[in-house]
Amino acid sequence: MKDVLTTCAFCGCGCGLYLQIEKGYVTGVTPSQRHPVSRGRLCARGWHIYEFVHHPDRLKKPLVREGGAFREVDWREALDMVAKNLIGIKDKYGSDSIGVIASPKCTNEDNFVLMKFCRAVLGTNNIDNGASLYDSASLPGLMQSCGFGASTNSLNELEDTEVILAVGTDTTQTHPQVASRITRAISSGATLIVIDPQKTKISSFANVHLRLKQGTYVGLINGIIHIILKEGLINEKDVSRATSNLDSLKKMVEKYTPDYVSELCGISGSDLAKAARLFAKADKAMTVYSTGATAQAAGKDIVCALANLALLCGHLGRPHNGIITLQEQNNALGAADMGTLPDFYPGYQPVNSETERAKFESEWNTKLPAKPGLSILEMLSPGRLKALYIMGENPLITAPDVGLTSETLDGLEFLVVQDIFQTETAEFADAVLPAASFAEKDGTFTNIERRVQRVRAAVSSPGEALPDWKIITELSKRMGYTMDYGSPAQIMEEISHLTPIYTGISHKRLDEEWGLQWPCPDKEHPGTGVLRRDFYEGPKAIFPLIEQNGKGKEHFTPVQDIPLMEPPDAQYPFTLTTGSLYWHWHSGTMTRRSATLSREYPDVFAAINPQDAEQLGIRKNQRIRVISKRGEMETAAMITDRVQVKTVFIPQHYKNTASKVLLNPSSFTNAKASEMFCAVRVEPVMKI
Amino acid sequence: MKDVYYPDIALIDTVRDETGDVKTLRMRFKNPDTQKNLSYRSGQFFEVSIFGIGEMPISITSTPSRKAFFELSVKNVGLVSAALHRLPTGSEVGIRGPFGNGFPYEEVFGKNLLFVGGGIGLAPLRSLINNVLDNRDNFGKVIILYGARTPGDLVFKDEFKWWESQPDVTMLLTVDRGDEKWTGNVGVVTTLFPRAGIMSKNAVAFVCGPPVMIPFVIRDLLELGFTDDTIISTLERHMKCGVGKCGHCCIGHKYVCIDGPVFTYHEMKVMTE
Amino acid sequence: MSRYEENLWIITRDNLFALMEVFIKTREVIAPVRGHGGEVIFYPIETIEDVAWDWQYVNAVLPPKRFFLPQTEVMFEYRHDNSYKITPHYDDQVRMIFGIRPCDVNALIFLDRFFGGGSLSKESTDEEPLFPDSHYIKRRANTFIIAFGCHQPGENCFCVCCDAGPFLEEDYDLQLTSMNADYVVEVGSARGLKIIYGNEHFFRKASSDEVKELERIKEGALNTFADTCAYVSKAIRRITEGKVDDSLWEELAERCLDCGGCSYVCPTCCCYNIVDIALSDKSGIRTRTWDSCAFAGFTRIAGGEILRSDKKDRLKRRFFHKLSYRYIEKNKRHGCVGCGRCITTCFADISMPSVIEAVRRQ
Ligand SMILES: Cc1cc2nc3c(=O)[nH]c(=O)nc-3n(C[C@H](O)[C@H](O)[C@H](O)COP(=O)(O)OP(=O)(O)OC[C@H]3O[C@@H](n4cnc5c(N)ncnc54)[C@H](O)[C@@H]3O)c2cc1C
Ligand code: SF4
Ligand code: SF4
Ligand code: SF4
Ligand code: FES
Repeated sequence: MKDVLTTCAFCGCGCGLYLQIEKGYVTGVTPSQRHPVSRGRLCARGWHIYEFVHHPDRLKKPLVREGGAFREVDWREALDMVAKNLIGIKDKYGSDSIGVIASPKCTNEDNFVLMKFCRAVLGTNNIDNGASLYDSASLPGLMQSCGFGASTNSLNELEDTEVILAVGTDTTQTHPQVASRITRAISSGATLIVIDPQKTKISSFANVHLRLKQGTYVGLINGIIHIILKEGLINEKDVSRATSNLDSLKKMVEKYTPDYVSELCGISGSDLAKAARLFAKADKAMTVYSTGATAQAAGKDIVCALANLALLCGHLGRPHNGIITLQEQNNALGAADMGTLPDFYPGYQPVNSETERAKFESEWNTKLPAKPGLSILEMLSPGRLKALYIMGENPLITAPDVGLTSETLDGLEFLVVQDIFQTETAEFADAVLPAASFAEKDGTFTNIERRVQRVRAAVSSPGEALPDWKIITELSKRMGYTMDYGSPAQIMEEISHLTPIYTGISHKRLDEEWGLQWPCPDKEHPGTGVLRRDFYEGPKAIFPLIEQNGKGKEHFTPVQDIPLMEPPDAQYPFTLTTGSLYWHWHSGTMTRRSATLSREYPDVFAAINPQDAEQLGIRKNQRIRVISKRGEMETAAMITDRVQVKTVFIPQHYKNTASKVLLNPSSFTNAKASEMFCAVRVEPVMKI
Repeated sequence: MKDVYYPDIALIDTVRDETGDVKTLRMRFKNPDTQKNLSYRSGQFFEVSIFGIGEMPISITSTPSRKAFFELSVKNVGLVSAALHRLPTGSEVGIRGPFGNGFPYEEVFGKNLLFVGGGIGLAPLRSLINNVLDNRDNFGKVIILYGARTPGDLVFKDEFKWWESQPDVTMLLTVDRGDEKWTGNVGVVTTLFPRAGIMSKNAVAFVCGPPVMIPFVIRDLLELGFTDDTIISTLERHMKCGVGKCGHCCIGHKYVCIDGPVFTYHEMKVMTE
Repeated sequence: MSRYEENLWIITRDNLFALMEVFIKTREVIAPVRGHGGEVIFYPIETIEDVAWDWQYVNAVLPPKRFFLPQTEVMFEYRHDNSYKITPHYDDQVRMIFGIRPCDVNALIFLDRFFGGGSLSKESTDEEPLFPDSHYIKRRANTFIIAFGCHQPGENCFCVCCDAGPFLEEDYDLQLTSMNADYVVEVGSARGLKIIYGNEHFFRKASSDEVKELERIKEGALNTFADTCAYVSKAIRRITEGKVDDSLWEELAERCLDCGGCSYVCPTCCCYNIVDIALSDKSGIRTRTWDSCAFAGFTRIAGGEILRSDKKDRLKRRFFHKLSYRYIEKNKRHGCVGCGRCITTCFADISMPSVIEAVRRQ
């Protein structure tokens, strides 16, 4: 019997848990009691995270496509074949014909090695990670406004703040630890403002729930700002000391009068004013938001608007005052930190900056491309690439248009998928490489509060599966570039050497503590819980971006509302939204294989409001058809007032990714953000 | 000590299609001694294993008065039941049990018996009906009322003739929706009550069927003079262990798998989730 | 039961260490140890130094229940060649649990009764169980337990209100309590006495002063409890009689996050699921895994209907099962031993003390 302390891989909270090992099998988990996030608690996903690890479906040997079928081969053959093909395509079409999709589920070390492989070996910046599908907004949005594309504060601060503004987040479902901190704060007297079209579990605790029309977030937040400006509720001291660009913000929000906004958003003007006053007058207030706000074309604008609001009221950059962005994937932040982004090296050092590039070129001893690469949506658009290398991602389920994605995958000359299960995406691959799960490898994840924490190997991988970083270094060797890492700890040494925000981080230090929150600029630095103003003004080297656009100051970024890409109309009167269930996670590859988790919602469903159900004559569990301009799907009806009238909610985790068939392909042409909404029609399937 | 979780192996001898989604399997334990020593009460159930898929509780529908085999009638509704439906004759399945309390039998000697069944709910009743009819002299008048959604959903059709032909048996059928060939009664099972000549005196009613049916039947039976103690029904709960340990079947302080599944209406009335 | 005085012994710290080293060589010894960051978990020890000797901690999140009913356990393995062959799996590891606290011992006795028909630390069980659970019983029989009396209860503890501590009065083999630099040893069973007589050179009889000192320690421990749960019996009565208004459960249901943690950490919760895993076309295993009445799927029946679909009913169910007199009758005690773990683990701050308090106020 053995217990191995590691980090939960089922959401961005990053709970500490022990895996219980019995005769080489993971047989259970124990929550860590002193871990600052878990504090003795785990959600249902965490408690059952071990259930998928030894699932018989785990990939055990490399597979290569021969004709229509896969053949099991040994590693040598598989890697030789992949290397040969990648070299061939690179020679024939050039480096930029290849793309790489990294994984917010894999470790920092895996992602770093893949990123290095992409840039130094393949010679392209065409790299992005799966988290960008849901949240391509936070990074540029927060970066522009406050310098870093990450949460500014720590989760535990939520418990002691006065006002919490929760935007587009069904927190209990996606981030239970955050939800419990919110309810605790409420128990000790905090006020909750919720901006969300849906009723959620936390909205039942809200003092004000602004149930706005889908797609009108920016308008609403500008409306709040308008009121705050008009009533003179801004935090003068902070605004004048630390921000720039207030005038253009003022001009932008001029038109967002209460009347205009309540009409636009379908909410009451008095609620709007109440929310504005509560937020502005609080001494301490924090904002949390999630994919409900970011997974749309206006995502980045919404993030900027929220940052504007927080800056204006002085609710940023101080303890118990800040913005928490709730990324769903366990290592969404880490993957971005590691530079699996088309335009950044690790630590958000821009690829188009001469100095940064020179640094990496000299460290890596090779020429690096200067031109920023393609985003994940661009890579997944048909015809852009000849070859794609996908690590631990299942875009066929997670990207917004299954039709287009499969067209893209079909059209590739060469597709490599590295994963723990034979995913839907892997069915298209020419080579499938079996990878180790989080329970089988060492490394680090970075949670939503910038806490870099250890993941530890607890059991050996099934069959011949290998850790992702190992697979890539083997492949790299075959392509003529040696990456000589003996262990993930050594990879971390290189990461900290090249990444200013990680400079003080090493596995050794992480082993001694409960992780370290970046920026951690030196070996003695205790990590940074709150991204403070005085910290911004500190060692400039860490903040090239602040330097660039804010002159050391935070910056207002005025934004205006844009309509949904496909607003409902007479023929398609419903808005389809998609999102997560508590019981499942992401594409469901793991949770659908957990007996306990999958028992709750074994099948996909579509949730509609009772009012619509009555009007359409739809009963509970009845088969219904959801139809968009692009396709249709049949599923069972769930009837709940949690969804707004004229809205359909379909969870995203299921194999028949039908909800994706319906979503809006124009998000691909726009190509910077995917929009998880579209217009649909709902009708009952006639009983025969 | 016998391991209560250890299934014995049984063989499927024959499979009979009752309806589009119900099959009756005639089985016997592979070990002849186990089969010989098998004793059970009507209303008890087995935990049936399809290895690698799972286990499910199924009432024994054969009567303990006929040895050498046992029978299960299974509706295809989910993972395990579908897997069982796919098995050809000669296949092996795992069997644990019999479990549960079973219907009162000796206790109702000499009484008039009313059976009210709906859909697959006739499966446990059939065991008791055959057990009663095989020992006809021990009981009074027998009335069997059975309803299903459509004529195609009626199970054990082959046996209706024999039941009807037994002395002092009234047997009436009904369906919710008829078809071209159906000439019998249309309507829910309670619509048969006025025509069945039911007398509540010295009588006991056994009621099994879908959860939606039960309350209506009980209401009408009470009107006819049955009492909380002379109405006997079964409860359906999610079950795993069958032996009062796993906790799934609990309702109130009763474990349906050992304290039930057969309860008097009196007992059911006081149960709360 | 007062074979108390003649059964009181003293063992010095050094002797205890020496004795334990003997045990460590012959069996897996589980004890509370300090894990990462100083948190306490029950864990196999390699040397006696590993034990969290200061005894000052909130109970480990997971009780020792997992050594008797693991979160996942293989019940049997099947193979199909021409016919099915089933091989049951039993855990025959010989274990000792050292430093288990009275609340957890009482919880084990509760489980003994549930799975095995009676207290398994006694030589014979009270009654023949209807369906003995051989997996549990085998593990239990292979495990010797040395309990530690709580001279300094933890901050979440309320065993005293649950008749489960801070010291054991019956149903144990050996109970140690620290006294000055040494340990007083109380013997509760013939099995315990055998250990003493088998290693007599390590022990000496307690003096009458030491007997008195132990009583003082016990009295002193009682005074350290906060009086959180003085209303257990009131809660028992009101819950049994259905006199708790649903609004209480509704209120709690708003916050519960269906994590199942309350069942998993509770030392007397023992519901489980049974799951088959096919390892190949021909072979596989049947496992049982912890389950919780907090989950809606716990009562899902074919066709999708969930019998206990309302969260408030699931919470009500939990506390009914723990406290109702109907279950006390069956299990011979109520289902809470006052360990305080649900206080630690609940996302929604729903715990036995908080519910008892809420019932009182209602
Ligand atoms: C005492 C008793 C007697 C029964 N007798 C019969 C019978 O004679 N014929 C018949 O067709 N059906 C009977 N049922 C119902 C039958 O058990 C379920 O239809 C069956 O368990 C469905 O299993 P599944 O794996 O096919 O469905 P899934 O939906 O895949 O269920 C998965 C698991 O959940 C549990 N479960 C699901 N539904 C039920 C349920 N209704 N009752 C208990 N456990 C459930 C089982 O462990 C099952 O394996 C009986 C149920 C009980 C409680
Ligand atoms: S809250 Fe997140 S990190 Fe914590 S156990 Fe649940 S899924 Fe894992
Ligand atoms: S209910 Fe809570 S305090 Fe009581 S035994 Fe269970 S976990 Fe411990
Ligand atoms: S521990 Fe708390 S949140 Fe979790 S299921 Fe139990 S009552 Fe609900
Ligand atoms: S089925 Fe397990 S307790 Fe009844």
